[in-house]
Amino acid sequence: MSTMVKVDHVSMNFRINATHTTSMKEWVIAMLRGKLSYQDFFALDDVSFTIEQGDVVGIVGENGSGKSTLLKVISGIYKPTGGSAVTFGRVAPMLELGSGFDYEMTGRENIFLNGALMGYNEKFLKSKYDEIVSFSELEEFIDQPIKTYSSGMLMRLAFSVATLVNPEILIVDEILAVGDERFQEKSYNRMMELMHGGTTVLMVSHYLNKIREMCTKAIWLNHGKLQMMGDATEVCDAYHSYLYD
Amino acid sequence: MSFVKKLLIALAVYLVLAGIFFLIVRDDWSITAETTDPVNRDALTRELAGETEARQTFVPAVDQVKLIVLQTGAAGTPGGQIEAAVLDGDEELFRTVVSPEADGSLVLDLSGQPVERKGHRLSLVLRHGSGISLWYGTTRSAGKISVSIRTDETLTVSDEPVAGELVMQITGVSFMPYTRWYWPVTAGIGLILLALALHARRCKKTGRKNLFNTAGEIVSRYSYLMKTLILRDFKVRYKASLLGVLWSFLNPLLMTLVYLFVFSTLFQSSILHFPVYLMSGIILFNYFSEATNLGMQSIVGNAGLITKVYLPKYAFPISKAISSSINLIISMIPMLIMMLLTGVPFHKSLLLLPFVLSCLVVFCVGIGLVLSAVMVFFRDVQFLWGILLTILNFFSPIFYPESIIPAHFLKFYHLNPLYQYLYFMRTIVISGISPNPVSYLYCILASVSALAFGILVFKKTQHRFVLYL
Repeated sequence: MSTMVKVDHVSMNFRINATHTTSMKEWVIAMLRGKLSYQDFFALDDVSFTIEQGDVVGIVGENGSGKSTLLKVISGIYKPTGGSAVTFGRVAPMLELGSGFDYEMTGRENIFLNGALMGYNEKFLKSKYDEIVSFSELEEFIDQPIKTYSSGMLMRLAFSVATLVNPEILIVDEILAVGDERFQEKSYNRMMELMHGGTTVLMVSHYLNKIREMCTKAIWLNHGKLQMMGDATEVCDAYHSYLYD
Repeated sequence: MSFVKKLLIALAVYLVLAGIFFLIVRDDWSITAETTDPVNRDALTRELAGETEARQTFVPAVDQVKLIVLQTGAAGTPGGQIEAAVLDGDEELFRTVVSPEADGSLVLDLSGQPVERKGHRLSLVLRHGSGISLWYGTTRSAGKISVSIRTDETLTVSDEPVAGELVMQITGVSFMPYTRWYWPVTAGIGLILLALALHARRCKKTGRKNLFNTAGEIVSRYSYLMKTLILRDFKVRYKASLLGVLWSFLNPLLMTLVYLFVFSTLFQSSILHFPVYLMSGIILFNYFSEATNLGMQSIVGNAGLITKVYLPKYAFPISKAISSSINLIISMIPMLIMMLLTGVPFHKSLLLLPFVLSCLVVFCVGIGLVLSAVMVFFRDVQFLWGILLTILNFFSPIFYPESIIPAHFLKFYHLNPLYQYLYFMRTIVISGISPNPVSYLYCILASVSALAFGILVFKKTQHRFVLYL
């Protein structure tokens, strides 16, 4: 077993600008008055853990406990203000499906654009292209601009691109209910397939049942601190009793 | 492919390019002919007869002065003569007795014994005339506009100072030693590149970090992303427009026609090949304005992506500058067509176009990096930049000739990098010669320093972008 994600004393301090200046004028005035004051807000506070290959880790916690921030730090979107987060492998963040889409372009062009944004090269994407299209069931519409797609079609396309490239580390914010019931089942099966195929998964969910069902481990974040990490069922039980007792 | 083989191919390419470049610039870098621009004919001096003498100081900017042309008020009245002499202090360098031509010009032909006093303040003395008066002036004009000038030179008639300077055109040649240094410098640069390549190679073997290897890795990892982004920008640009890419041709052509219509009476007479002059200015400035504006918006505009996916953020401003440059390259075609239509000859110096265009693109990449980074923190920049662009538009010789700029502003005026690119472009397109090496250095320096500054600012701030988007 090799370590895939190593989070080492990570802190994320959003210095909230108390005066909130977004224009140069306000900033200069605030600075001249000596009112450029900041408030410290730790979204993550000294969090450390490691994730091994093949782990499926659920992250639970109340709203504002730092779950999404943690995913963004691991994805490399946020640079932690303290400590370090290292990943060993290609990360496919699915924080919001379809965020890389260009609505003027066709489905085909968007598959390559999205793949490129995830850091894949042309040759690899060409080899995966047919699989992606057939999984998304969008063969008829693939050369239409995606502004003509329905929202369900968009999600199907986005999900297909994100999961069919066989990422080594998959990061999911809230489990995805994509498309109609049949496609939802298909995408759920695809996720399970990925997990059993050795992909390391980190997912945030408020549905404790899903976490119990899918995950091997779980992390409970409480106000930015690591409250508990361990077996998924144990962590979920502890979190559940914290919420309702 | 083995390292040695790659190295040999690179060497061959380098030598071929250096050879082609040498052939293009050889003649232009050894000798240049220059003619000064005379002032307007505003007034006539007193008649120069007997001991009444006119004395005009001047500083030649050329190595050899070969011809001096003055204008007399004697047009149409033949006959008469005057003695002319060129002095350096008390030393007489040249003396002749001439008669005005039929059109009134007084031609002093120095080609037999050229004056070689570059940078010295010389005096042109005219005396023993038969009642000839000379034109002098205090203004310069560009087309229909005249502007007053300040002159450092003095004109005296019978030792009395006269405000202004003689209408005087000096033609001469300068010799440049650049070609002598060409091959040694080329060899030197080649050796430096070779040393860098060997160094990078050794670092790669020992696994040490090295700027070039890191840059190479980044380029190879994200080259497909860059390519996709650039193609996307270009495709989306003309989506849903009827004429599509044709607009890249039509736009500079139509804009040139509009400017031509507005400015033709003002400036046309004083600028050689005015339509091409205008068009080259419009194309370069439009590219600059478009690339920097798109670059500035590129980070903020892709906020949705940057906050959701890990990406090399510099890909956005860089791809914007490059995707706009496709348009720039396409618009060279209507410019060449305009050259054909207006009878501007094609010279081998046109082969230097890729040089100046790539300098401009690199410059815009640098500016785009700075603007996109600052824009994240202060959205005011977009409005400031709009104003700055307008100022730059007027401070660059796009639709007017450089000669209307007062001489004492020129030093400041030439600091504008856009001026340097415009000057370079027009020298190779309209004058059909290669600019001197100083111009190349200016262009390279402006691009490289803009790029370095851009990378520095971007690198220092990029990890804080997500917090402000």
